[in-house]
Amino acid sequence: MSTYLESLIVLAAILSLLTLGLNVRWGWAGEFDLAYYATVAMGAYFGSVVILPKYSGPAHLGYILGLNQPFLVAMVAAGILGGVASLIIGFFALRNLRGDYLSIATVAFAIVSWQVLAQDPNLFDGFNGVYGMPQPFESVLKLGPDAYALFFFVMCVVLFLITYVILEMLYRSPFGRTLRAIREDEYAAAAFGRNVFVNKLKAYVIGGVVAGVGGCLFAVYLADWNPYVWAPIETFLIYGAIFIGGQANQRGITLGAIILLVTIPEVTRFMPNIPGHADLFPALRDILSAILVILVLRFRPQGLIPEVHPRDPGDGQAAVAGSVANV
Amino acid sequence: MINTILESVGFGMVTASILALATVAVGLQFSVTNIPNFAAGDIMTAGAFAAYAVGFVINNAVIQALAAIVVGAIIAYLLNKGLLQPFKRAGARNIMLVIITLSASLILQNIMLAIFGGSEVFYKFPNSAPHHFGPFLLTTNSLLIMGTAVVAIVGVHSILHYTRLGKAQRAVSDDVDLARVTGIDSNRIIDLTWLWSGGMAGFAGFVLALEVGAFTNTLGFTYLFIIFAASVVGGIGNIYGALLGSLLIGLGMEVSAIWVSGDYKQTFALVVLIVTLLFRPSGIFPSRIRNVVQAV
Amino acid sequence: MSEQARVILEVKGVTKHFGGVRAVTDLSFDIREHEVVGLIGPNGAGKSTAVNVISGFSAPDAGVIRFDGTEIQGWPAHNVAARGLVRTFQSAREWARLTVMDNMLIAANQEGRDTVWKALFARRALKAAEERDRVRARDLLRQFDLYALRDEYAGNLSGGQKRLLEFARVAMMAPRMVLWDEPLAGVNPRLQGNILNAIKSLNQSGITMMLIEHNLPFVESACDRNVVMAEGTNIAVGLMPELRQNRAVIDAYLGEVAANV
Repeated sequence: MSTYLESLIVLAAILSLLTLGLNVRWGWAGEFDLAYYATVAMGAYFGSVVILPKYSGPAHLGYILGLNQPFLVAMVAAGILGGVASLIIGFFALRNLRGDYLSIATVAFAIVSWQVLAQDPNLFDGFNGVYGMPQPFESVLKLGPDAYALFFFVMCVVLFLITYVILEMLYRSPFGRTLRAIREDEYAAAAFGRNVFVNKLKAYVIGGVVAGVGGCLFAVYLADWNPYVWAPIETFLIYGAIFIGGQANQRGITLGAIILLVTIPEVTRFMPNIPGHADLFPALRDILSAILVILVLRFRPQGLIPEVHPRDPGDGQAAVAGSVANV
Repeated sequence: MINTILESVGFGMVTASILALATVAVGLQFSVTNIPNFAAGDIMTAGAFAAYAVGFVINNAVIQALAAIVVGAIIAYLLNKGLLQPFKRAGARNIMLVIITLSASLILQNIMLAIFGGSEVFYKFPNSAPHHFGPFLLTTNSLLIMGTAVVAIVGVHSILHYTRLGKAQRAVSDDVDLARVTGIDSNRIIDLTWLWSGGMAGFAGFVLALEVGAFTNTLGFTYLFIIFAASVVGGIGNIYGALLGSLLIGLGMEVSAIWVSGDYKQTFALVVLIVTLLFRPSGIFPSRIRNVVQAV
Repeated sequence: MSEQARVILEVKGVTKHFGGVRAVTDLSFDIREHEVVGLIGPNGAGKSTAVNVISGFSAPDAGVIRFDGTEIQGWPAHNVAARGLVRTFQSAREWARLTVMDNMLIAANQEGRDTVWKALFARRALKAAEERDRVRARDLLRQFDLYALRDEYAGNLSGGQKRLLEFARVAMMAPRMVLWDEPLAGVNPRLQGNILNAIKSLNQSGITMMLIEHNLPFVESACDRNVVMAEGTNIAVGLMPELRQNRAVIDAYLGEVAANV
């Protein structure tokens, strides 16, 4: 039973980490970007072909690279790839596009990249997917299955906490405040000296690095997967986690990820399988998630744990001095 | 080689006419909402499934088409009344409305998934004879499809320009408050627009399903981005732009399949969409230059 | 005194057309340091476009704009602002879901503090700088009667309070010059006196100002002299009493009145 809980927490840690990355783009900078999960997929695929050995299967399929590197190397490489890809995409997308136009362009990009990743038989093994991922540090540590599961658990939680802390430092800094000003009103931000494009791009790239790292971690967690895991619609669920949990509040977002991305799927997983309608409960689960998002946006748009409301301690002096504004 | 290209052009005309029909329907909706509706494609899918379902009971294409129209109209109407209007009244920003349509899309796709399952359903007229029109090779079905699409578009154009309803609707889409002040019942016009654009979308879904022959619950959602491509390329907000855009994208998709694998037809449209948005978002025939790069 | 002050803003031959609309054509005027100059003219004269072009929100098709000796035409808005030329907007654009104090902290000159690197590796220096900003902000908020609201989300303020917050933010930024785009818009007329005092007070602290406003009595009390625009160009410059007698000015305004009858 405890290993079941462990595996749930691992999943929660990984998915929360991914959600924190999207939050940098949406919650901090206000970019309605629907290509986030595509960046996660890139991190997953790229990390996989760094970890996996050279392709040795049937000739009509295959994957590129195959560098047989250890997990940490792959994770760093995936993070860098996520950042670089985001730099390129963001450079073009964020220059001219905002709001709903940005969302259309990014969804289109997500669909295109998914189609390429999933269909090309030589890039990443096509619809076959990836399987047999070596687990991180497995050959080095030589632990038994339970001990290894515990190690993996600790590793994921630690990675999540490191990401959380670093992002929290960014949020509370002048950089974070600049992003929030851009989020609220980018023209006023420009009028007060902020380079809107460069800052938006920075937020986009940071989100991309987290996506790459998280994607690689998710890939080794899953160990086997086919392209449908990375379907473009999944980005919506991560947004859902942010809306439900609380925009721009990392505690809230973690809670939202736990509720929407872990608890609801787990609870619905135990529903009986109705023969002939294998898709029924997954469909119901997504419907339930979407309805939940709509309800939250209508009745509690700030989310369960709203953005932190900062308070200025003041200096204890009188509130009204020689007031300029008083007639 | 020329023959292959011309053949593709022929297919492209069919693709373009369906696309034009769908783009006009979605454009109609856009004219009264001013936000992209991510659920518009799913309204098309619902129409297709409605026709398919009715097809089990009544083997009459016209009745099936009617079912598609009715279901499309109802879903569109409910989407507006049940979701978008309450959010607008609560003061939601545009980006929030877009998110709501995305949620609605997810719900619709999954309802259809739950009812009809995830595997492809097959829906087509019995195979029909191909005809040669000079260099073009088209089946009777394709001709029928093109014909219906053309008739529908001409119908929409006539309604918009020659009837009172159409004029009122153009007034509302230009400026809701001004229209209200001149005595037009804007709310009723908006409701009516949702009804008939939804009906058209349902019909477009029916036609699309016939053309592709087999479809799943994601038919409309993926098609929506081809519609966006046609809209953005042609210029958002007017019917001529929609037609031109559909022609370019439709032809482009079919002709590109000569050189690139057929799997990437849709990719072609999406790439055109992305490139157009990045470099010429106002399209070729911009009439409603909505603030893509918003001026102060 | 203002006759001897140096020219801080030089606008020469600025032109901006949008497709068929000739918004600004061959606009030229000079502003001297420490002046308060009104930019007036009938609707559609191109005043807002002129402000957008000067402040960098719109690139001119032709012309030269020199601020404090440097040519800035075509510069993006944030660079113009960083140089010390700030503009406001017709509706007071506050950062709504940030507190009043955060609004002030953002307005303060960041001197390159808002980078990712510094956020991770220079936290102590950042904290100290922020403390200094807070002290200044509190004083300014007190002057504008907003101190008690410093923890309130700026979006919850009244229209007049938002306008005052705008003034406080400008004071916080301490620019060399401000272009006020209709500071009275959306403000309760009873608060006009407060706005006038705020303008005068900021001007006394050394900030040059240009003011777009339709309320001519207000412009007369606030401004040293005025530039009149009509149909995209500068048709007259001077003090209010002489402008009232100016044939061209009368025609421009009468034309507007006649069109509205």
